[in-house]
Amino acid sequence: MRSFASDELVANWQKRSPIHGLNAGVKTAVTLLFIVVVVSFPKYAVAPLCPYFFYLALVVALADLPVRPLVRRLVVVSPFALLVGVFNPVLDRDPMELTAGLAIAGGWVSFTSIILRFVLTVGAALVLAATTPFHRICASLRSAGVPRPLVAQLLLLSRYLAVLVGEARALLRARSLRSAGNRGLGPRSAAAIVATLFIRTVERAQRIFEAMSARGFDGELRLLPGPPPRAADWVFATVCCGSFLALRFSPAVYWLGRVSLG
Amino acid sequence: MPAKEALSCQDLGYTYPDGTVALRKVDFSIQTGDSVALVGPNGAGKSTFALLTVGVIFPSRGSLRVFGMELSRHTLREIRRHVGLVFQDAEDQLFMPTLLEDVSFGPLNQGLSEDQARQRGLESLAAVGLEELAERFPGHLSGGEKKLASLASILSMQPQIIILDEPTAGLDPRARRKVIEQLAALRLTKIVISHDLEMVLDLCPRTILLDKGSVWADGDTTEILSDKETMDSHGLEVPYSLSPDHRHRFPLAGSRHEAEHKK
Repeated sequence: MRSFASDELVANWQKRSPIHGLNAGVKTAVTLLFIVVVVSFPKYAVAPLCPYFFYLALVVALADLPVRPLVRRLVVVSPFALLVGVFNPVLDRDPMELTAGLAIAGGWVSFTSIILRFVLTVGAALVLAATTPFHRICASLRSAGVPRPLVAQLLLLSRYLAVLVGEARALLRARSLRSAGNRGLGPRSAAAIVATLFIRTVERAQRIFEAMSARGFDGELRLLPGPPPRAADWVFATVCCGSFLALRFSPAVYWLGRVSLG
Repeated sequence: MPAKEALSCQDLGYTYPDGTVALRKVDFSIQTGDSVALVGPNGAGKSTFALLTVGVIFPSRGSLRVFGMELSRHTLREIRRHVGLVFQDAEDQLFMPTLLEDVSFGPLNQGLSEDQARQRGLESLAAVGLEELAERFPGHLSGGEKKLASLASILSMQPQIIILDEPTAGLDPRARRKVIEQLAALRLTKIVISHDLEMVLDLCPRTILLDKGSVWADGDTTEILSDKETMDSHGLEVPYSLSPDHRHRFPLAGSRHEAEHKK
């Protein structure tokens, strides 16, 4: 049974590297700022986004992360980004001049921008998950003021997703062993399996709540603090945040964008 | 010096919201340091009793006292300092992302500082021999390790009474033996809820037989478990080691039998 923690990408958090050794709170804050900065660019920004790939490439290299699972994961979630941007070329046909004499519909530019932002933001989140224990990310989010029910949900989801998947697999196996060679699930079987999973999940949630209550749970899932930030963490944070903001607001980057988009 | 009363029930009853009567008129008391087994068929009310002892649910009638304190919403926090419940399914008990976080969960909720909670957690893991797995994801542990980790998660709260719901269910013989040895080494008041009657014979000198929400027998474990008529009438079986023809077929079956042979 595969679990969240044994996922081929996420399991990399146990490695040792300069990136893995950084403080989880600092990494989470830097990643959040990275995402906010990338998302904040104007609709048609394409060239100004490109320098941000350097950060992603550098972190992947320093953390010695496998590229293939990272790309595979991006491809798996890419339909969401494609769905968001796929109608832009149809709806936005205003021409934009790329270079002298060469123009394309603005929709294509905004669509490209969406894809670049998707790769940057989801890539940064995946890199964070692959270099940081998930509960430390949750602790950082809680410290940053994310509501405690949401953090508790994330923690319990990471713990019990594998259990739920295991139960679903067991149900499917039991069904297939009695299917007498019939292929496919069929709507009745599918509905029965989903209903059974739902009931089991509710029952398990009840038992987990009882176990938590018996150990004094009062609504707050308290976590042990990680090690405090060191000088290297502050240097990393300062360099990264400074670079992200400089690239975002530097006139040179806008000039680059204007040149490339005419 | 007479032993202090650790836990007592008077006229204890519990009815679930759907009208199912789980416990009716239960009376018994347990002294400090006792190891008591609670046995009975499925649906006897054993797990309901366990939930009552830590105030997950409250009695519908009668009272339950822990060290003289009657269970109520006002005494709940104090009672949970004294009583620890190890749930049947370790998957439900180990809900935190790492073992160390899990064993520190109770101490943090008790108001201990983060350093103290971490220390308590590490000590309790060491007590069950799992200190090297402190950073492990609970889902990656073996069945036996999960059971021991569940026990550690309660030991870290330093309870005076520990209630174990089916502590050996689903374990292979080696893991089962390890859990039994750990439980035998605990110097606490123990209430063991189990269908593993061989383990009950090993751990608990006293047994309470519960069926249909009522106490049907309360006394010496060997006497109750070897009473075929009583056991049969409550959906239980005389453990094989107590059956008349067992010891001569398996003369090396266990230290308890060897001791009996020497009598």
